[in-house]
Amino acid sequence: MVNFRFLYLMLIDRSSLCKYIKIFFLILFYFLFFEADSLKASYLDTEDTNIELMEREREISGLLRCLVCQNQSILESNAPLAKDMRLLVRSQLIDGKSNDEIIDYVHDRYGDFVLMKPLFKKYTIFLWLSPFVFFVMGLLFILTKNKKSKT
Amino acid sequence: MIAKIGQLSIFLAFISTILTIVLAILYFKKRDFITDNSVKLASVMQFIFILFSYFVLTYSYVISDFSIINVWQNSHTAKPLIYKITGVWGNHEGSILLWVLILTFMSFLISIFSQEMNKSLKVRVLGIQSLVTLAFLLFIILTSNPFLTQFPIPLNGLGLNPVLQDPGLIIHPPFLYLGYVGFSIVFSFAVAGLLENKIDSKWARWVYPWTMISWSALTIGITIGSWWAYYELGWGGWWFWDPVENVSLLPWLTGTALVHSTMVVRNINSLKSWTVLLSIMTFLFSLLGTFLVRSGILISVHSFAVDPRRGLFMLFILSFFTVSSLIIFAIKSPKPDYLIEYRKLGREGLIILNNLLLVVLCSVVFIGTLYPLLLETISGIKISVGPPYFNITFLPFAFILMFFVPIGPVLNWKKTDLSRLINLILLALIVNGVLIISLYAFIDKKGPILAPFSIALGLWLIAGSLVTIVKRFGLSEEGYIRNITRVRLSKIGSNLAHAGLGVLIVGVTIVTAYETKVDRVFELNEKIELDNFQIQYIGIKPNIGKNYDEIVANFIIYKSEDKIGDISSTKRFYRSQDTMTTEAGIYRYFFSHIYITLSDINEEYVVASISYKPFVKLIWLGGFLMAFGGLVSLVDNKKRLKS
Repeated sequence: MVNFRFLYLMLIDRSSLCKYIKIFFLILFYFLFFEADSLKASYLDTEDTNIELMEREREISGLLRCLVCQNQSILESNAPLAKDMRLLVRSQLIDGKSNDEIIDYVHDRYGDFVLMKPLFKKYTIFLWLSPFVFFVMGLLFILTKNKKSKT
Repeated sequence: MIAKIGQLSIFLAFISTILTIVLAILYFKKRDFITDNSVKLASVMQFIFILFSYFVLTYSYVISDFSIINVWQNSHTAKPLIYKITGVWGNHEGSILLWVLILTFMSFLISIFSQEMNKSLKVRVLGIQSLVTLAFLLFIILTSNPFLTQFPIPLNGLGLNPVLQDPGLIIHPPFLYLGYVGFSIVFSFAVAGLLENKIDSKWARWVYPWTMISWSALTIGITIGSWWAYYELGWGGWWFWDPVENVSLLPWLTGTALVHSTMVVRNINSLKSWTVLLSIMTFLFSLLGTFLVRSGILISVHSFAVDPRRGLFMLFILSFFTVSSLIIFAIKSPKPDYLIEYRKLGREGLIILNNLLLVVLCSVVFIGTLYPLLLETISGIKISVGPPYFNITFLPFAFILMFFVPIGPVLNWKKTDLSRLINLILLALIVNGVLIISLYAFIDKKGPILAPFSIALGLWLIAGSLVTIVKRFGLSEEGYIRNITRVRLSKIGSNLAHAGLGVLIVGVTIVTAYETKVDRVFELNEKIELDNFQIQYIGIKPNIGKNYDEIVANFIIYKSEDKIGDISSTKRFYRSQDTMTTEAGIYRYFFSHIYITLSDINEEYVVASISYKPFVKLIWLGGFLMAFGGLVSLVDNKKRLKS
């Protein structure tokens, strides 16, 4: 892998280089290293597919976590891994799989951590039920205390 | 040299703080020798010394004194002046100093302005506040000294994180801190009141303005934070249920509950022990948030260089104040008088419902944020708790709460007006029903089924609050305002805040449900359709800024084939940090935005994501309106204090 930092600093810190050469390199820099071509291809491929697939892709992507990011779904993230995962989702959609099948597929590969919406399991019972239990308990507490005060 | 002066000033502040605590203790032992004036003087000295050291630090940033490690790590000669000044709080050491500055500022205000306040209560408040200050000063001196120096002196600094070089950073942290730290004075009032056995409506009158100011500041802080994330981070979202955002929401939710329950104490001298508990919890949540973010347990843009000693020390501060304040609460808490004194169908009854719901909402956020951490520590199982979880657990309670918000303010205190309540609930049901049906008929866009419910509730909040405001003005039959001098601003303020919540909800729902997004390759001069707009990509242009280079991609916006504007979206390289940021291009169309971010740039095409975000501006407008309403309600508080 090319050392970006070194390359970039070399371009920028030579004050003798005139502005326009710098700009030229800057553009070249993008062109060379951001692997835009593969992405372009993948985007262009799906241009003809219908809007419904795009929407479903977005829907599914929102539910899957980008594994290398800080609490972002692969829909929001621009990380390379997130893009790869979106491509994975897309290819599965084109294969005609349903939303649940695709999520299951990704879940099998990456584990619970990839799901933005935690599953209802033994170890998430507390997570899912506590708000509702708290609410009912609080309500009962207030109502019974008030009754007592009347007597 | 400068560093030494700053260091000395912090040390003097440390001594003044200990002095304040000692004097406060002596005041209660030997009242004849020590007057409250000496305690006040020591508190004022704390503030002056911290203020001075803060100025010294700012000055070293402005003159780029790289012999100070903190300045070297976070500044650069090429950085614009404004970011040199605001960059002081863009790092761990500086922001903790700002935190202490606000802590002592609160003591300062109490010493100078609360002349009519009960003397012994005041001394206790100052003493407890100084205890908090002392803990944080120790934290600074032992783990986060901003004035550490180095030799040899480097030629230039490492620069400030580019994401933070933004107007949002100028105002976001000070407001957030003012909110966080403002609740410290509420905490001090609560503990002092417990020790004095003086939790009553008079106490509530004293503490209410501080609660309200802190709440408003926190509201503004969170709102600006959300706005900043929206346009600076380039993800186009305004709230991510990110752990760091969540921990700032915890004190906001309990703080909101506190603002309401304090009114119950103030007006009918009831619900006292609950209010004290809320006051304590709100500040503890502020501390918890600081601990979680600063210890690096939650990783985000907010966690600066991580040093395990800092985390440990913060944990120590947090545990100390949690344990000690809760013990004091357990021993001295007033008898749960609210069991007898409130009527469940009067205004206080609805405030209790409000408190219950807000605390449940707080528990949702608390559990959702900390559960994955806890689960991983205990069992090693890694799970994610993302927006879908919060939507399912947060929204139902929020909806119930919003349904009742406009009803509360029109009920009477201490009076069970059952028939009125039933009428109002019926009115609410009818208004919401009509709104929902007409929204279903009116909105022709595809969206979630629940969206019209949520919009209707938002509109109900706005309408209900506005009607109450108009009624407050007491219009005569001809439509004139009868007596403007007798209008109670506090009532107007609270209803403005409620209306602000409604505006927020409407904005949030519309943009979440009806956003249109296109994510694709744009060839040069290609035009694409987006909602009612057409967007054309017209090429890129390089540009050189003061401390960055950028490539700007330009777009033209058309609406029904007429050009209505152009926007540019940028990829930026910051030279001194060698990092890249995305500057989103935002076209403002009334309350809506067209939002463009670039993922890849090339000479012939760009890969961009463009979204139309209808009414997104209402989110922040609503946030500001809430804070504004909170401040308005304070205006005639002075009269109350005298009465």
